[in-house]
Amino acid sequence: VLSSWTPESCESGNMQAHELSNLFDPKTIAVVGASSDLTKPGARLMAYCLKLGAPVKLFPINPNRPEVMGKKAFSRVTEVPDDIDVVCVAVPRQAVQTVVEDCVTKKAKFIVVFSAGFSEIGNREQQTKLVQTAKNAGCRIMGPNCQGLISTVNNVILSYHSCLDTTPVRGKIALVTQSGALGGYLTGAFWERKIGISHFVSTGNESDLEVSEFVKFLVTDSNTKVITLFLEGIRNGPKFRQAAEEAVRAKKPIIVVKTGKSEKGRQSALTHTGAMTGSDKVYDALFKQLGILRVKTMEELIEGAAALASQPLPTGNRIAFISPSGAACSLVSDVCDDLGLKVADLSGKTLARVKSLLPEMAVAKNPLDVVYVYGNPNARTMIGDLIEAMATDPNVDMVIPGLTIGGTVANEVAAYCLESIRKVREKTSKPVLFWWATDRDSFARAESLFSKNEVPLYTTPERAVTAAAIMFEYADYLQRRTK
Amino acid sequence: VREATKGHMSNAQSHQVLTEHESKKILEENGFRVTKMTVAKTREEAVQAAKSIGFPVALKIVSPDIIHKTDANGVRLELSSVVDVERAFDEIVGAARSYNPDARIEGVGVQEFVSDGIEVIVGSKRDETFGPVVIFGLGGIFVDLFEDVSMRIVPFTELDIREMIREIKGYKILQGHRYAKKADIPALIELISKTESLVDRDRRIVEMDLNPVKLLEEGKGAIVVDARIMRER
Repeated sequence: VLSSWTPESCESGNMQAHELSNLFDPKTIAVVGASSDLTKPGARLMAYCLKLGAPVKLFPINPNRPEVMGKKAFSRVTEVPDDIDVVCVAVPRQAVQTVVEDCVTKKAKFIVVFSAGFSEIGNREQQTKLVQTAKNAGCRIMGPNCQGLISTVNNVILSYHSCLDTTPVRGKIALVTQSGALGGYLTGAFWERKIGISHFVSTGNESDLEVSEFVKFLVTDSNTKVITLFLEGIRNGPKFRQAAEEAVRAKKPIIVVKTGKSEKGRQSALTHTGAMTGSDKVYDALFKQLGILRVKTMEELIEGAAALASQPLPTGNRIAFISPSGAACSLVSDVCDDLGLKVADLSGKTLARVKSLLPEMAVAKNPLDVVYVYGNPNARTMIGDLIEAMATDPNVDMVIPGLTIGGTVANEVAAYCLESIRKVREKTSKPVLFWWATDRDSFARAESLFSKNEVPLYTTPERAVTAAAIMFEYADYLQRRTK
Repeated sequence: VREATKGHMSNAQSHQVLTEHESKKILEENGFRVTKMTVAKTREEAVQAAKSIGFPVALKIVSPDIIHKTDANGVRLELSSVVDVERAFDEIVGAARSYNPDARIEGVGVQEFVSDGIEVIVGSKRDETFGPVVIFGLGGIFVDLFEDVSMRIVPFTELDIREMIREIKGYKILQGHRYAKKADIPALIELISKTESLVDRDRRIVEMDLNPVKLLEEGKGAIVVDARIMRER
């Protein structure tokens, strides 16, 4: 078992189909503005859909062409013979209203509007009209000014973002973002690091569907374990609070990057997606109250999510740290206090076992400096055996081992470490967060090996420790709430 | 705290800032312990009030047009004699007239002076996205200079209150140390809880400052010494 989540907690509320399930798993998709000109969004979306998407019924809409990329094209949405689940709209702003009216006539369920030039530039009137038209017919709008949706678990592509040039990796982390561009970047960054995501959602101007509704869906979605958010501002406070409370009940952590901390940031939020941001301190309070993990950077969002998605939650904040560098030990000791972590006092039994594994000149303690790996008779097995020894100590809640060696010879060490971590998982439910401070090539080799085994790998000890602190923050919140 | 004034300026038509006297009346009706205040219109009334409350007392200007009493030089603390009260009354009225000649002066409030305890602030503000929020912090320079406050969004639980109390940097001051006894944390929890239910129940309240509240040593409670409520008309 890779995690502490029970199937019940993930699938609660999944008994009946959620109202958004058709959006995340449509059977028919129409693309308005489809062409074969790959500089245009409609064409890119078609191409990604054909290359990566599930075999859904795809209807290009283009009045000037008989077919697009081998698919029969239709002049209008209303001409399509089948019922349509989702209409993707990638045409200039002036043409969007007519398309929405056609969608209403056609009784399409969802409209994803990529087109920009609405409330984000002060044009509220046209946006309000779109929503009114759609809402009266029970049709929901995503966007406008959004980057759409990618459902990796369903192979659904309703986006043209170039992150799709990176091979999608399926996983348990969902991303909902109010910034289309940075959201797309984050998705690509997850994939490049071989970290899987379940769904990517870019909400844009949130004229109709907003962050809270997607969070609610993801709480009920059995493919999602961790919800990550990139926020500029919440439109409906009580609704968001309710969604977050549901996430707590389902024990699904939410990690958030929220902009607008500085006055300048707030101004740019205002012009960026037309979001009205509340005072940042209120957001801080809200996040604390709801156990939402606020991180400062996109890296922390990715790395915290990777830990929470793959590792069991720790039961405490005591870490065991293993390193071939004394400096790394000092670095970690220095930051632990600020991060709310403690360096564990190892038991006498563990210290004896550790001593027996170390080179003669190394001292058995925590944080542990092994002094050197190569040149040691048990170079291949030492780190792995140390991980096992530390993880089985009742005084230890999390293990953070690391290496600085490079070259292909390191693969052997990595393979043995993973074997030890597998054994640790069988014996305990303690997270192991590995760091490997080495050259890019060696890191990349280790990374693909680790990702196959669902062990997160960090480039520096500080980043691994930060991820540990994020995990503990969530575990601690749940413990306090369920006492 | 500062925003209260700004809000008052910009929402003068739709919002009303209640005087300390009016604010405390609302608080008292809702079960808060407040310092009793008598509004004296004359020097003689002030002396009478001081005698019946018992020395020492504090005197404060009562005017709907003077929000920041200290700015108008309208507060005198720890007055221990009849002479002190008489002089303070004259000075406060004189200062108020020169601060704002048009201010309506309802009188001078005479109230019990609480010398013990740690000053804390409990306040509330209605956020346009999330509704009422409640803040807590240590009073005086801690809130003014360090903005050392914690906040929760209504509704919240006692667990949230405990967490928000522990969250401020100055929490150690409440825990007791070589210069002071442990503060009455249960009374503080109750005070924050009453604030939460008041602003949850009465949605006309836009902003509220209980500042300062004197938090006494363990077992002795918390007293609201000054208060200001802004609400919709």
